[in-house]
Amino acid sequence: MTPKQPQRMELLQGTLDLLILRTLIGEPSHGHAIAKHIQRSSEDLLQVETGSLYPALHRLEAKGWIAASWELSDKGKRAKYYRLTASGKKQLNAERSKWEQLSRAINLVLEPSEGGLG
Amino acid sequence: MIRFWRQLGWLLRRKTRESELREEIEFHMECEAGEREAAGLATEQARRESLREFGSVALHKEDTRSMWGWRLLDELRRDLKYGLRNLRRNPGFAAVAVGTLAVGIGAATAVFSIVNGVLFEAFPYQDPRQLVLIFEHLPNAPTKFGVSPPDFEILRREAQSYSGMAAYRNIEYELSGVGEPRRLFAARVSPELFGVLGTEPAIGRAITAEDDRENASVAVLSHRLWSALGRDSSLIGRTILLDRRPYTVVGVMPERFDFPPRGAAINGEPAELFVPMSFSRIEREGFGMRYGLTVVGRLKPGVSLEQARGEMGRLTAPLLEQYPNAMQSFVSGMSIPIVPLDEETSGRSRTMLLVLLGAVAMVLLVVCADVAGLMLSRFGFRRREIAVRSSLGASPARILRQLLTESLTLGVLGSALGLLLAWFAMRALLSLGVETLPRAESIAFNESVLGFAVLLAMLTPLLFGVLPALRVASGTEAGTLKDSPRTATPGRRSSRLLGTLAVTQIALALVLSVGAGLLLRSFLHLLSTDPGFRTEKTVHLRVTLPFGGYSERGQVRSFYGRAIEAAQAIPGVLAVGAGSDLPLGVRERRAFSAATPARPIPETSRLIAPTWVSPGYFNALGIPLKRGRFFTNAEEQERPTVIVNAMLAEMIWPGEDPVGQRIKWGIEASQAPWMTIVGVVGDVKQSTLDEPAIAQVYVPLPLLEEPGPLSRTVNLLVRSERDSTSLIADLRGALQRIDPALPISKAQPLEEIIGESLRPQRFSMTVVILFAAVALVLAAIGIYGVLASVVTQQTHEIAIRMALGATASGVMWMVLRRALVLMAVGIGLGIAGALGITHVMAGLLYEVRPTDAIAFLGAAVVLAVLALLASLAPAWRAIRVDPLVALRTE
Repeated sequence: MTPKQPQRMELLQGTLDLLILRTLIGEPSHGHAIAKHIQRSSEDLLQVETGSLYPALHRLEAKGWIAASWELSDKGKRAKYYRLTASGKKQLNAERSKWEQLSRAINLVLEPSEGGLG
Repeated sequence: MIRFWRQLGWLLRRKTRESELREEIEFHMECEAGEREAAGLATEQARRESLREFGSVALHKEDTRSMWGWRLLDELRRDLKYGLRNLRRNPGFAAVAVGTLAVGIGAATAVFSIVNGVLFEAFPYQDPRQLVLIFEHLPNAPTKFGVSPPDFEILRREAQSYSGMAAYRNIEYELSGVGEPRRLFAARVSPELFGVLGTEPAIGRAITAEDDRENASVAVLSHRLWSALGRDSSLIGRTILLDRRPYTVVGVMPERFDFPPRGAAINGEPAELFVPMSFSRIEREGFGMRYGLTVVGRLKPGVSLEQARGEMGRLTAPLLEQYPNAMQSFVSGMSIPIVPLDEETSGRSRTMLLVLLGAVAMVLLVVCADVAGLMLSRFGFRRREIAVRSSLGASPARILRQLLTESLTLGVLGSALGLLLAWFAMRALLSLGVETLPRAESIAFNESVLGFAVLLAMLTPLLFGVLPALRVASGTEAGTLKDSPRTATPGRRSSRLLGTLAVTQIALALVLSVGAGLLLRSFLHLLSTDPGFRTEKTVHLRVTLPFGGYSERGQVRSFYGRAIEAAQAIPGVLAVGAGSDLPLGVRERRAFSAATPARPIPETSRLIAPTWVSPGYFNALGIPLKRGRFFTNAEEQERPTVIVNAMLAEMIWPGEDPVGQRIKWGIEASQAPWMTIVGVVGDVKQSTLDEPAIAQVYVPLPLLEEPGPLSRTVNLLVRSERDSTSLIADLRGALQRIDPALPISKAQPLEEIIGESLRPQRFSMTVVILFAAVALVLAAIGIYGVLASVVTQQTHEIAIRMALGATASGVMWMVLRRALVLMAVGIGLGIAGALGITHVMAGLLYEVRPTDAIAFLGAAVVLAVLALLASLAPAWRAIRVDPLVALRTE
């Protein structure tokens, strides 16, 4: 029996960044754990393409919003753990408010409070 | 910004980064596999599935790596490796391309090193922009001349615009007491000089005001002389002999210091040592005489050249008032010109250097066109390979970048080899132009020159690589892949581009050839100019009598007498003469007056050239006697006699016989004794072959005055049927017996002095001819390349024609017609271009107009012949096309 295929939704690059930063607000995680966390938190609606995950992680590292270090994982092998930096936290707040503004704007258009063009 | 540093750090630890990425991805995949195993799949299948999930690992790695930020660098590195491999596989093409580039870049770098040294290099003094040279000028003199000592003293006191002013003057000495006696150039300098220049001796001390006042016998050596003497620091304090008088060495100048700068019109010989100026009383009080000093001043900060010139204008009248009344008319109208130091030293060679620079730029363009043609042909053969790459996903921009990288590789290799060539070329140019180039000491391979070579390495690939690369990168069609490899030749449009390149090369080669032709004709005109004397079978020796041992005129005259006697005693000698100056090198100029001139002396010609000669001088040089007689051995001092040249006779007594007339030195009011003219001789050229002769007066040796540095030069001329080498050896021996310690500064067949006087012209001519030759060869290669590709391209067409009955000459005509078209267009463009720019060279030409028809015609003919020769091989190949073979290989 094949597992139910969750709906894969297209994620814009900027949005993936936001999700990764948010994920790391807790404890440091490695790439696989981050992907799983996003999947679980979105109730399986968002499944991060692994081909987009690592480029994103390295890009965020280049920008200095997350920092990486090699730690011993619970599997006994070492893995690359990412954590949020101070500037990353600032960036997270900025992106988050931008997202909320965008979402509010779209909602306003979709559900006009007065009668517009119908 | 931070991102940049982080990425740079990653770049440096690239290997680690790579392995980390691999590890990270593997870990991810293991986690996935582990999850699937936990969900019930078998290990192997779990792994396979997660692999599928993960997609192409390579692509992801690639994407991730691109986040690292240096994909550009990565691709460049790969392009470079690919390009180098390509070159290795085509060694012939690589060798020709790199070699041609090396020639072009090498020549350009060598010429730049010279131009840089002469025009751009800073002088080895402090703030050289603030230094100016001060001269004096009379309206009736052809050029400005030096400053007279009393004038210098007055100017130094009165002028306010300078933070320091000093005077100097070249002087020649015989150096002995250390090693072999030899002659050297020195400089008498006022004690302020080193202060004005802002340099101090590296060892010991400089010349002080006290040395100057007390006429101390001290000398400061130049670094070059000190090195030549063995770099012995114990030289300080030791005694050397200058003109056989003892001087104490007190200091040595630093290594890069050269003074006076070579190239100034007056006092322009770098000195090997410096002695105090120590004006004698005669010098200090002698107004209106000895205008031989060069004065250098340092402008005060904030004082402009105009302000200084204005001040000099205001100081002139008060200065002239100090002159004795009798001289006022002579010096009326005197001005005091001020010239910036660099303008004075290199200003006069500016034209020649610009011409050289222009010529080498053209050579470089021809070289680039040549290499572009080569690349175009080569790329034609690679169309298939490039089509494959483009079908694999490479964008045209990517392909273009890769082709440009190959060009850049060629450029760098060519530049490296070119630097080597340039080094040799620079040395060759220096030795060829040794007395022509000012500031020769500043010409060296320094950072500017290396930077120039690097610049060329970057720029030339743009010139020769862009067009071929654009043509190829944009011309990739799918159809190319279907072509059979054997017909991979340059396409039609490439052929047109090749043709344009060839036309450009021809045009540039024509311009260079015209320039070379003009200089050659000018040089030949100079050679055929009658110098006024004969040089066949004559040898020339020169000694300069030092002050020590020859301070009295009796001693000088006695030396002359003994030298002439000894020379006459040598077997096989036909004629002997001696004099203070030779034609093409008459150094002094003096004012004179006539007792009863038929015409007043034009003020512009008042300065004439005096020479002291023995009776046999004219005979030895073949100077013809026009009227009167030569000197005899018994010229008496009570009735002074002179011989004048035809020019002077015509000037003062036109049409009459001047024998019996009287002239004297100085202006009309001078107290000099009257001298009677006893003969008139033909004119000789006194300075250079291209300058007209001026009035000249020959004085017999017994009338030699107090010997000054100029009159202590003894030029011995000996005519004989004997072979010159053995004759010179005998003469050396004879002179050495008279004075063993006297160095002989010149010993040569007389005709060599003509060659020496032509050095500047020979220099420019040789260099431009060389450049023109290179351009001609390259243009011929260009034509050959175009025609060869045309023939290859049209093999099919030729085969059909031959099968249909075309004759061999018909086919040959087909090829030659193309060549003729290229040639005609190229020569036409070249002539138009040459007409436009050769006027720049006008200053270098003697009796040849910049539009001289023969030079243009000659260049066109040479180029046409070359073009025809170059087209012979392809035409021959066209004829030998076998129709059957050609048509079958389709």
